[in-house]
Amino acid sequence: MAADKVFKNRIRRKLIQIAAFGFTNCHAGNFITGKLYNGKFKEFCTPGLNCYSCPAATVSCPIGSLLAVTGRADLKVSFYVWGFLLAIGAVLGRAVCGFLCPFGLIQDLLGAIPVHKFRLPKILTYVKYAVLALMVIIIPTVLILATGRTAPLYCKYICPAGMLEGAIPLLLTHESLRDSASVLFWVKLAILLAVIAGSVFVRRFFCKIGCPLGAIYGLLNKVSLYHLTVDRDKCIDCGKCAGCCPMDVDPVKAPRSAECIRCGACKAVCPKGAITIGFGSGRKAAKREGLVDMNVYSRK
Amino acid sequence: MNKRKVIGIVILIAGIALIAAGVFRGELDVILRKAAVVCMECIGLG
Ligand code: SF4
Ligand code: SF4
Ligand code: SF4
Repeated sequence: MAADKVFKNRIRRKLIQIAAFGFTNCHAGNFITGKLYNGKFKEFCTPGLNCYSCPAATVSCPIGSLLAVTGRADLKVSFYVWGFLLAIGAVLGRAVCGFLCPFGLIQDLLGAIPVHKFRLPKILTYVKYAVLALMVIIIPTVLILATGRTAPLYCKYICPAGMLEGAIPLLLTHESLRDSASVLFWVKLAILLAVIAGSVFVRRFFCKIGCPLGAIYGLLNKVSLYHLTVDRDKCIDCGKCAGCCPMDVDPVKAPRSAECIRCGACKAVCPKGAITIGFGSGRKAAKREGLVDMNVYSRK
Repeated sequence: MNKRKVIGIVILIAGIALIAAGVFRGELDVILRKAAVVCMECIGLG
């Protein structure tokens, strides 16, 4: 029964991830021509990490878009992209990472390679907040205010998705671009290879340590309308949920953890049906039973 | 209503207002121009 629930959850999530991947990248034919889709949909952002310089991309990457607007001396800050990220994050939190992000799916596929998986020290999960603060917000803003010019720093110096989905396919199809490959290209290639290797041995390696979008949605996990709740009256503290979590979260202790991608693995494995994920269903169930209005319900 | 839910809804409304402000400022056009052509800097080649 539990195995059945786990299997169904996996299939359901994979189908949604594949659909989101397909919608975000529906111009696969452009990989052959090396052209980019340049239609109206590119005005809009995708919630996940997906390079807008990928030939297949239908919509724009929110981090790239944010930095593109920040780089305009007449605009300096993107109301549109910040608004988009806040609105999506307030509704879904990191469920975006669990279901909608193409780079998340790529890491899941790498993580499916059957080798021993390692846990990262928790302190490394804070690196992504430094990446967000320095490479996406503070340095670009200071540069644009002080000099009137800034580069898309995160995209230029770090983003492994841009390397995998944008730079490599474009270099393969454009001979002229190959001459532009400088030291920076090799540094970014090394970052990408480290992320690929990391994702084989650590589940969601880049999501855990380096993604600025994961940092934003993680913070919004604390208040997102789509959330996880644990009924402490049903829970028998067996630890199965924490044991299966790809993000090393213990949902009983931290149902609003910034790391939780709302994948539902813990819910599927729980032998007591104590975990609920949704828009307030846990609260409703607790109200029905007259329990306190808290994130972790307890009469103990 | 749960405090977290209230904060979530306030952020959602603020987000929608910011989206409208951004559209009004013409940010969609800036994004389209950037995303429609190969940005050498964006992919670490420039
Ligand atoms: S953390 Fe970043 S790369 Fe990972 S799934 Fe979330 S948005 Fe995608
Ligand atoms: S799997 Fe269910 S019963 Fe076991 S500790 Fe987690 S929430 Fe409690
Ligand atoms: S706590 Fe549960 S829903 Fe959240 S990431 Fe872990 S297994 Fe997935």
